[in-house]
Amino acid sequence: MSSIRSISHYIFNLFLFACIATTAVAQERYLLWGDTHQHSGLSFDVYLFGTVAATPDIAYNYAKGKPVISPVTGNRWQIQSPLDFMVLADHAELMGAFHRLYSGDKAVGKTKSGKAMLELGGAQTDSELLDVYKLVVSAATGSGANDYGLSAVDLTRDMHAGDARKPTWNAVIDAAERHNQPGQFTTFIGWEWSSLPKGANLHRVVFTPQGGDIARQFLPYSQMESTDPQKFVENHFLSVYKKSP
Amino acid sequence: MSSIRSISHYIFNLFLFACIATTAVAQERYLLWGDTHQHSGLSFDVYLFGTVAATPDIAYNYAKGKPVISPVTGNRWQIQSPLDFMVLADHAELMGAFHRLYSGDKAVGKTKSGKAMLELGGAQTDSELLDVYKLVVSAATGSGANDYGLSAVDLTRDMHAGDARKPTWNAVIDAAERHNQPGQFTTFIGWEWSSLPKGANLHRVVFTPQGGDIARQFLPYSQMESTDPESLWSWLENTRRESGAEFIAIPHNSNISMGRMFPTVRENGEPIDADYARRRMQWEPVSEMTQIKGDAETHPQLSPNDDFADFETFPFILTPQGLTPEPTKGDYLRSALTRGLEIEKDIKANPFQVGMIGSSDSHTGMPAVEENNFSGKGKHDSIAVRRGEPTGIGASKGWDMAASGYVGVWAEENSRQSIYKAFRRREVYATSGPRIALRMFAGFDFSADDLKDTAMATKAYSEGVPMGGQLKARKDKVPGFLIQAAKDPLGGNLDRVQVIKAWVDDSGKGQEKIFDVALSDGRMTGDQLVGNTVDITSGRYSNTIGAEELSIFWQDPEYKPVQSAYYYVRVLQIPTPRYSLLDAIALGISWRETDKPATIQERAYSSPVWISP
Repeated sequence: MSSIRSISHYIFNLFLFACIATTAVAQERYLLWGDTHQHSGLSFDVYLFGTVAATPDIAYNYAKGKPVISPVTGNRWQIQSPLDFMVLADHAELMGAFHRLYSGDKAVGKTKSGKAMLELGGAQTDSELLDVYKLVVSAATGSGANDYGLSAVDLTRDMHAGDARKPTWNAVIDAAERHNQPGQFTTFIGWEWSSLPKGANLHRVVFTPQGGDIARQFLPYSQMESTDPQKFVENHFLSVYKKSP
Repeated sequence: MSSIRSISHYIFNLFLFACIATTAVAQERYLLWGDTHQHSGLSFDVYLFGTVAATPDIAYNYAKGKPVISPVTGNRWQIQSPLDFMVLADHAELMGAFHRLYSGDKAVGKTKSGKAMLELGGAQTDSELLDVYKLVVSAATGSGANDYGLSAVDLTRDMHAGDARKPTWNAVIDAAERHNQPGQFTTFIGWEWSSLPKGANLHRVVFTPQGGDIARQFLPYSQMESTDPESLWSWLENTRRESGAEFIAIPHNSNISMGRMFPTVRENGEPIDADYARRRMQWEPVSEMTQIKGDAETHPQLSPNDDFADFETFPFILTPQGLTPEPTKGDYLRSALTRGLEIEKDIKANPFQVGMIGSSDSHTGMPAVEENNFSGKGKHDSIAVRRGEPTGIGASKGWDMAASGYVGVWAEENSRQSIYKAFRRREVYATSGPRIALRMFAGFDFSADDLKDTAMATKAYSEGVPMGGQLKARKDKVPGFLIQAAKDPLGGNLDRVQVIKAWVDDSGKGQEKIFDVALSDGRMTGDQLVGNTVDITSGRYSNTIGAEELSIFWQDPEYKPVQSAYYYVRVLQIPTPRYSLLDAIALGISWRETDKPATIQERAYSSPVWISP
């Protein structure tokens, strides 16, 4: 199937570009396919809704055309024609905290939030993880007192602020670098800024064409820093841009 | 996808039949695809192994090309190209009893067996149903006392004998009638006779081309009535006389018959005689030689000179002891066909003059055997993560199962009678799954020019015989074969076309020889392999090698008119990924851990043509 698809696109390309070589050499362009908005279990919602096996590797392998074990059904799954590039765009908010917590990462597990969530969801059943999700929502929105006395301040301090997300961000960068094969398959380092003021979806996927050496100089800007797109640009991009060579 | 496949086969058909309308109207035949061996939850094992949602409707809808909810995984599943016909062949033994019992049918529930099983398995969890299965086995075999004091007599009386199966049989008939759409999709009313004496698999699928009015006059004959195929034939004879029903019985899994599927002696120990041969050929014109439990064409130990003999070999006898006996000539089709010639020399009748088909024997409720869309033998091996584990079927594990096969039929139209007659004249063939189009004719007046003639089939039918046919040898002429093979439009290109010949030598001993008669990519000798484009890191391949079509006019350079011989065609695809390679990549393990090859050469096998002196 994939061969039929690629041959017919190849012919299409030939048709479009047949005469270019004799006119403007610099303008040869080819059709590439991608997905700039893919989540793994590093996103809080993917993980807490029970898709704990969704690794960045599975996402990249699937996009590259390899068969994978579906993290949601357990069946083997395979894209019919491979993609050419992908952005893994996990939610910046609490990025990777739950994956790390339940993989035994003590840096998360020893915090107030971590301890509470290990107690509440240690067996990682779907229903336990949903309880953890409810606890996170309760703490983050301050919508009600919870059994663990967790506040938004606790959550932010334990799972987000400072360098709390650094190990995950490094893993995101490492996965992107590992799967980037110029000429074959391109990965971008990226994330999702998940702004949702009063329920209004202002989400943005952000990606950078730079590599890990530059991406390691910052951490993904999130809606916990601001839900205002203007601030998002000013506070984050411009400063990073100015710092970048 | 299906449109690509059907358009290209349509063109193949056009090529073959373009001029027929003006010449010989009666003989237009088209290629139809089917599965004659599909199980639903009406089979005791499907139901008790936890696939309770497998209804006949799901099986038919899947075969027709509709998306269905897989009874084994709960996912949506869809065949890549629809089939043209199907036989729902549920086990005759205790047919439908468990489905009815656990659906609240009081007629079953009020019996001694029913009460025990409702108590034991009322919640229908996988483990409860397995306990029920063990109780059934314990009662049926008398292998041990059980907590419920159930005996074989109880089971038979409560769930099988008399009219106990009548409601299920009526439901089977109703489903077949409901889904039969002549010209579009054909269903046959059928079942499986599951004879397994001492673990030797003698199973037969039985189907009738007649409709419900006739099928309601009988109940499916089962191994609980007799495990001797000759008793089955007697029942078929009597039932035809009484009801008017015609039948085909199809032996399958000879590879796990411990030599008893194509024996030299009858079940009663007497030597095979002409009457046995006549009766067997009356009811069993074809044999299912490739399916999920392996390919039974031949075995490397039986055909040491056949470089392609080791294909989906499945040696696991259906007993708990986990036997894998040495192959014998009674286990595989090629040696059986040859044995038929040897016996014919003695008794003047060939008991094994059979055509060859493939079908699935799927116990998932769906005939899903496309390599990249395989749903497994049953629930236990329906997903990759479980395929390294034992299946409970002999000593096999999931990856020992083959994603195979289907049957190709050359018929005038898509109807019960037309397809039935094709089975009768053996104008049918086997594939390991891919829809490779294959034609073969034999005759004394063919030439290479005939292949260029758009009316080739017309001439071939009038001056020769198609696959499955028989020719009388002539001393003045050498027979010629017209062979056409076209790739599956969604599958791999073709590597080669082979003719497999067997004959009886002067000493009465069978001999076999393989001829590479058409090769792709301009190769001059079959010793040169076609290559392999499979990327074992991604499970993808490319059709940059091989041929889309291979056609050849061939004559046997060693033809001897005094010899009794058969010839059949084997078409090999280029290497493509086995499903277990796709699983291994997905699981992040080496394909070697599956104990199976990473790539296979899928194939089609024609029914033979016999040439007798």
